[in-house]
Amino acid sequence: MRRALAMEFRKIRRRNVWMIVAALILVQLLWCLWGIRSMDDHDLTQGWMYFLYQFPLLNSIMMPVIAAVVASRLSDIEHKGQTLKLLNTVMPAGRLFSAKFICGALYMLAAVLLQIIVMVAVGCLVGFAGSPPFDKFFCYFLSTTAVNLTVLILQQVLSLLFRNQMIALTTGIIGSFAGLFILYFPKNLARYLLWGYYGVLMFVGMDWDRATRITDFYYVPIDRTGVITLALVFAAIFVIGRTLFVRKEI
Amino acid sequence: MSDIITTTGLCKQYGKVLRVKDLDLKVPEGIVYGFLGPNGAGKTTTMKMILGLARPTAGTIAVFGKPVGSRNRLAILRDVGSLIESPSYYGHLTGTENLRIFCALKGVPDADIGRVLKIVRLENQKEKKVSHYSMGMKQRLGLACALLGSPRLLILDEPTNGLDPAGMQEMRELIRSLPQQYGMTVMVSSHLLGEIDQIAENVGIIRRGELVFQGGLSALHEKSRTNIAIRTQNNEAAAKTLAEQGVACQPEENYLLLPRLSDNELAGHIARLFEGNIGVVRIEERRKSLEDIFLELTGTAVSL
Amino acid sequence: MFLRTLRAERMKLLHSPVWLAFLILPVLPAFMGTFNYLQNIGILQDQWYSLWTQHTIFNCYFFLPATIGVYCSYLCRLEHANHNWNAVMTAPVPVLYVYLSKLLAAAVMVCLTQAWTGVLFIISGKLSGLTAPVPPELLYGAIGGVVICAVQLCISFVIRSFAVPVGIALIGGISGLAAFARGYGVWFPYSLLTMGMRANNPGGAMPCSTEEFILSSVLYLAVCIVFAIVWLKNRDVAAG
Repeated sequence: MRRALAMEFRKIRRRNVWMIVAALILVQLLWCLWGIRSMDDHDLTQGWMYFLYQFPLLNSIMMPVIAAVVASRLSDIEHKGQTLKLLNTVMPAGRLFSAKFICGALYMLAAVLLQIIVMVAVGCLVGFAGSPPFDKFFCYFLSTTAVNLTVLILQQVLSLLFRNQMIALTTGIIGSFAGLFILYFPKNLARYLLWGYYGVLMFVGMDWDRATRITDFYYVPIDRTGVITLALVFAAIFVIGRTLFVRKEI
Repeated sequence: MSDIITTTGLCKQYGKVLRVKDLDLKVPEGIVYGFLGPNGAGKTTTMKMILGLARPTAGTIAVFGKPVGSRNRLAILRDVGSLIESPSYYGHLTGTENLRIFCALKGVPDADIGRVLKIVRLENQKEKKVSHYSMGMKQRLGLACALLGSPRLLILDEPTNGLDPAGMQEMRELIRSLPQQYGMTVMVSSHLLGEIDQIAENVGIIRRGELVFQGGLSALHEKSRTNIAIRTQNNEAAAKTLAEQGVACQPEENYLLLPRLSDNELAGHIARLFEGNIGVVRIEERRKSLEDIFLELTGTAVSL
Repeated sequence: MFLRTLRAERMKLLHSPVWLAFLILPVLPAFMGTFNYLQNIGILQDQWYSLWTQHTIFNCYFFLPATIGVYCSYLCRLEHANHNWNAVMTAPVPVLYVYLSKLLAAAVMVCLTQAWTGVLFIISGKLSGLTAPVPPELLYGAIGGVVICAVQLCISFVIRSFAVPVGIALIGGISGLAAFARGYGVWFPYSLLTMGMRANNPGGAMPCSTEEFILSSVLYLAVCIVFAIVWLKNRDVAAG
């Protein structure tokens, strides 16, 4: 498996997948940072919670697209070069599938890590109250990554099974859109949509008092059923997708 | 007969390397012109430049007497059909739909589709999606697209690529018939010498971007020397006898190669051999094949 | 001759699932926007216009540019594959028409989407019991959308991958948001769509004059057309 994974990285060597991921993350970060320009003292005390509230919302727009782009890039090279036939004689199709997933997953992990690093750095610079709550960041890392990987595996299945990348990318965009919108709905509804889990797994709530126009954040316990459901969905997509890919006649 | 394509001093540089150097092509009208060369010699690059797909680094090209450039681009392309690199197609569409698209682009009525399909013998597959075609079928579709509208000039880049022997034969017959039947000039590139030998009238041989021969195929055959090869029951003795007569011979396997001799001279030498009790068992005329000539000219093995 | 090129372009799109995104995409904001409106009917007092914001705001900034990116990528993918550039560039068609026919194909889709959005808007409005007339911002929005098509098409001509221009479209959309917030909206192509749709201030005037809007749109269109022609003419056709 290690060799298969190394092969994946060699395949995308000059394609600069990291570039588009970095660009998208950068834009997301700029966007969020722009929001903290005008923060007063009250806001600064809740700075960390503000980040942990805002980023999942932004993620709901950007991460599905990043996942779609990464999965598409990884799978496109096989379709374009018609190498699936060749690879089938070198390694079992299932291993190729898993290797591609791990390769893509590493990109997603790097993206989230980058987010956290910038969050901590900026928060300290701007002067958020208190030291960075690393345990909360760890939760953020886990929950975001969980949803990212599930979206990634779905995108990969679509990108590998359909030669026309349009289908995969369109699904990614529609899903992202739906995920964003469903955040405005009661939480229970969001459970039924994969892309809504960015919101379901959020653990910071917001109180916006209309009269005083003051926002207050508070921590909410992580939604355990949400996590379990997500894990099941991930497993299902992985297994079904892998089987379909292996069975597919090239 | 005027020249339908002329190039003067054509050069094309990619990076630091000159892929095409000082090419002076002359393709006469109304014949099949074979463009020969080993792989990577610059055939496709030259053809691309003729079609205006690539810009020459230096030199000029004239097609139909007009210089190739943006001003004459449309006027030239209207009368040119081409198949470059590999056949172009839209995989998710059927053969007929593909041809309809090219008809629309070329301004040719749809009725022409039936005609070209019949010429390339693709009528039975015209409703199949092109992504399900075999390689030979794709090649034939590419040729059909090029033939749409009966252009004056046809530029084909390795048209028999991927065809089985029957298909290659068909393609050869077809290409050979085009000048007579439709008055088309055909420029065919290939590295298959035997093929060009059968269909072309004029030939241009390119090697590492330079033209090493251009002219009629007959002239090329003239270049080949004929040898007489004899086999005797005692080659060494025969060689000595002939050497005494001043005939230099080369031993080759169990034959002796003699230089070009007139019939009388040869008869005389053979007689002397018999006198010396050396039985002559084989007398053959060896002609250099086009491949040998080609190897001589290009100095390379014609292989991948 | 241009009509012939358009016909060829239309034929290339047969059997393609292109309309899928454009059909489904407006349904989502229509559905959810209406739902949200009905939930918050206390806050959102402005009837049609409030409904409008709910429908369009995210659509314009992110999802429509991304979908346009997908569509333009697909239009160009047809040519990037199978050495098709060789065939396209040896057809007796002026280079301008090659670009314009694709632009028109994309523009038609955008306009159809806008029309579909309008229809959905009316339906959902009627279902929610609104009575005011339909806003005409859709037209300006269509113009903004066509400008994005032009830019994305140029990007897809140059970048041969499918996914990267979509990523760029999303970045463009977000940058459009930033540009709009800073007040430079009218000079940035991706924000023209939002400004035209007046997503932030429906019913009110655009945050710029109509002349500026039209001027900027025409300018960007012209730049893109010139770029496309220069690119196609001067680049050696590398079809591989």
